[in-house]
Amino acid sequence: MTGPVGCRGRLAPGLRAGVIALALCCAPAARAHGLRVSVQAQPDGVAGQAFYSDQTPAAGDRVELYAPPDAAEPIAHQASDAQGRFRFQAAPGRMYRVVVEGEEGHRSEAQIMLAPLPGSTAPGADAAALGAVVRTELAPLREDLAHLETRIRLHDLIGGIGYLVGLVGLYAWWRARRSR
Amino acid sequence: MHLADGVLTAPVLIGGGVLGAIGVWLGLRQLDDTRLPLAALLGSAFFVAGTIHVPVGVGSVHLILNGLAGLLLGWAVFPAMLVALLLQVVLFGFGGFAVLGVNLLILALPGVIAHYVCRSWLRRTDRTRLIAVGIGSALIGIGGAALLAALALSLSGGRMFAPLIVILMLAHLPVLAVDAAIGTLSLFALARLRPEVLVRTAGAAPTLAGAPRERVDV
Repeated sequence: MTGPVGCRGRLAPGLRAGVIALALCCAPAARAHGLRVSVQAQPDGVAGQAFYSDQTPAAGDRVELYAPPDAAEPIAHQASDAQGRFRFQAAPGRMYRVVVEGEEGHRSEAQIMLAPLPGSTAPGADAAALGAVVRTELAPLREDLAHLETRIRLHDLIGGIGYLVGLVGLYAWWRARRSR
Repeated sequence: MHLADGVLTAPVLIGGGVLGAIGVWLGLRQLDDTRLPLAALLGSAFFVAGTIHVPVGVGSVHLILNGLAGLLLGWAVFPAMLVALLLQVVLFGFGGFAVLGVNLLILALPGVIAHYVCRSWLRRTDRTRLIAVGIGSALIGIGGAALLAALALSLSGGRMFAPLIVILMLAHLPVLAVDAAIGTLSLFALARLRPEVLVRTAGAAPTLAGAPRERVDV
């Protein structure tokens, strides 16, 4: 799906619609209700993954990088790959904002502080290399945490039903008092 | 079908909010004591159904059930969906607070249309009619929602209506199929267990409080 959608900017609008429609036919079709994005610091920039609330990757969506976070125009953009992943080269020591926007009105954003790697002032000659390794090794863990954070849990569902029942109870009580 | 915060422009958000509020007001006037539990039931069915994704083949399928809810509730589908959508925003982060009105309109208005289009078919509840109503209300519910979502997105600029509606319809074909199936089965169950619900939907127009009844119960 990354192939045709990734280069869709060069296609005529009608053809583009056809390509997207075709891509949708052979890609996960029914999209979940929410788009999510997780962003991690990398040694040379920021990387992350866009995924839907049912934990399927959001492939071929437009990903934009803003710096500073409140900038009006993105400094870079790309399409997420088949696993929903993206990677931007970025200078350390700044705040960044990553915005993912899907075709169907889905949108998600995240901010990240890209701290500089330990420099020559830090003890040990390989501090920067070690910092880079730690960052790379921790990225999957942070991604797992992001997935865990957005997972729909059974107790949320049951709680929601409880709220509904409670609200109906309140409304019925209010109506009963009024009609008395 | 939940549009996210930050996608739509302010006029569309405000317009959706105002129209959604009018719908909720109309719905609350119709929400009498006999209809209240059904509204809560369909609201929670919608709330839960949207979160359960069943992987089928290449995609995953979930329910929306706005057509069925609208068919049985009429305008009262607006307050029921409002509460369900609000809970989905708070608990799961689907959609957002600013787009709540637009999302409510996208889902509830096709339900109301399904009510007025399909209810007369329910005068007699034989098998073919129930299937027709089940499929019809799912088609109006999902199709109308896709249409309104595409409209809201294209009104906000930057997207063309024609390709967008194609994308949304294609993406929701599996949803449509499951909604039609579950809706039809629900109608079968209602016809057998609680036929008075269908009779009320078909015959007595849910009158606005204070307004004279248009039609006598069948």
